Amino acid sequence: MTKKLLIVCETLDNSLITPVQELAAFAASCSISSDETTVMIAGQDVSAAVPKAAAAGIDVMTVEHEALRYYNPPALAGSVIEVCRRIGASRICFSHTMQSCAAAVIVANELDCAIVTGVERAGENNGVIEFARSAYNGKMLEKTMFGSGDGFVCTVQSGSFASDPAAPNATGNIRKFDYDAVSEKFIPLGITAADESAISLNEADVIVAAGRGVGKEENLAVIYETAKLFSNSAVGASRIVCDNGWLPYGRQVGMTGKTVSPRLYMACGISGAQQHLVGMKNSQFIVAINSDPHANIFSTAHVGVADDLNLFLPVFIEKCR
Amino acid sequence: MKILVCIKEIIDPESPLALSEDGAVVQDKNTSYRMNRYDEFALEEAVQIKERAPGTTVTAITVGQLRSSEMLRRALGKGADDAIHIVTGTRFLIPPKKTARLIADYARNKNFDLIFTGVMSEDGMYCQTGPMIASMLGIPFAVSVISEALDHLKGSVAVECEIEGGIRERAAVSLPCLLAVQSGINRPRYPSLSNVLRAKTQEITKIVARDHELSATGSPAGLLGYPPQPDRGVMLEGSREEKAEKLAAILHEKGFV
Repeated sequence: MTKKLLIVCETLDNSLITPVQELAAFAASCSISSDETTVMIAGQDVSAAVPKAAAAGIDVMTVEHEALRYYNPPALAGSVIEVCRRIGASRICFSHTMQSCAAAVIVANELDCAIVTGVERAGENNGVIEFARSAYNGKMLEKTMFGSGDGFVCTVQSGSFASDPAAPNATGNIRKFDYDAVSEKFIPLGITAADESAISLNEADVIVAAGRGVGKEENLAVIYETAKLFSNSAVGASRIVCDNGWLPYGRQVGMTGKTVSPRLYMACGISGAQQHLVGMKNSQFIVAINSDPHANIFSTAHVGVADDLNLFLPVFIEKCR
Repeated sequence: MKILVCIKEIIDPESPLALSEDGAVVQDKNTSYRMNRYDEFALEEAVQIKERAPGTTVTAITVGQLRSSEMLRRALGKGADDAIHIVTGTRFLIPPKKTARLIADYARNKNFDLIFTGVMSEDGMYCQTGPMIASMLGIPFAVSVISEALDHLKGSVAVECEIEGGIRERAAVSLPCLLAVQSGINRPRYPSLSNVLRAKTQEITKIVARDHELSATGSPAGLLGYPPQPDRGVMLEGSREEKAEKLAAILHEKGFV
């Protein structure tokens, strides 16, 4: 018997957030056909999201509720569970964001099925589905196998599966699903927009990003000096730099921060934690400077320099002048 | 008010990492350990609430190897009142669902008003344990919490959660609840001398986990391996001067400078 897959899409303030084509590509990579797949779109008003979520003729199920206007993991999980029961899906796939992941955990617990979070690779061989995800800051790959009859919940790391440009952008049947069992124990109240600096990161051609290797706030001067070498450049940061208060959170690149793809990304003193890589790995050209020659960032970089950035960058700036 | 803080000991990401032939993470004299960074923020948040609301107790709990007791002493040094160690013997990597089950079983019927966890562990990066504990206990939760304000009269917590792109969502969560905190919510303190002295002699409650509570049955067994070496990328060789010159030449050739 074929196992049905439900792809869960979220909206935030009526805008589609989930990269549904990527999730469809993920499903195809483990040989789950579109006939066995349903896309569920949850939100307050999903009418604008439905055409965007159209993926190669996959059937769409919409769930609309006032409580789903902002992220609401328990309400999303509750509606996913009911939709699964209705359509008989036992495999459920979310995007790997903090909020979708939280909903995925509730679903896995309520349905008592296995859960794998942050899937980056997937494959199928003789009915056995294999998922791989990063652990230990990318130094290890963790694999999980599922048999052809197994159900599962998974969250897929964004940017891991390329959507198929040849796939027809066609919508299957659209059905509406009524859901009203919303708990009052978690009430979303609204969202606060990111600050201006986050926007400038998206528009920059060149991003020079600082990590833990900067050492102290005063050393950011050399990062700014480096950024000045390039036109339309901006300074970014890994999370720890923002946690230390050296740069505002609007400068953070990575999970919960900005996802950027500039022409040039210079990672300075950044070790390459997975949470950072997801935000910058699609940059066109990546240069990494780190004193640890085994740092994970070098696996993503086109050009690597194993050196202390505070000593290397001043020499580099001299050479560029 | 009763607060439970879940903390985890991890292998320091700066520490060398290797696999034995049977696919287990090698732990030897070169391995260094520390508290998961996100959990440091969780602990600090709990201790700050205690300082604002006298009569509050903070209990730190971990699921970990024998050696993890030392990390719990550090938590006591940072202001936790007592510590619970669910001992896993030499078993190191426990599937998040199993960890969550052990902690949920401990916490059930103990009337904790608030449970804190880090948003994830730096080693596994599953983002599962916090919401899983809450789900098993049937209490509400919030993840990626970057600020929280308790409202005792309403019996709820006003939280801000970090979502994508630096956007924050505001929400109200009813007590009792679990908050999985994001780094940067506060500035974790260093252990105080008086607390460290107290922690030295304080008893840590040990609960030995049974084998079936730890094995991967019912949870997907994750097999660890080395990632394939990516074929992209060159490492520049030579002296600092030479490397700087080469990088400048590459960026010039590509039209960046």
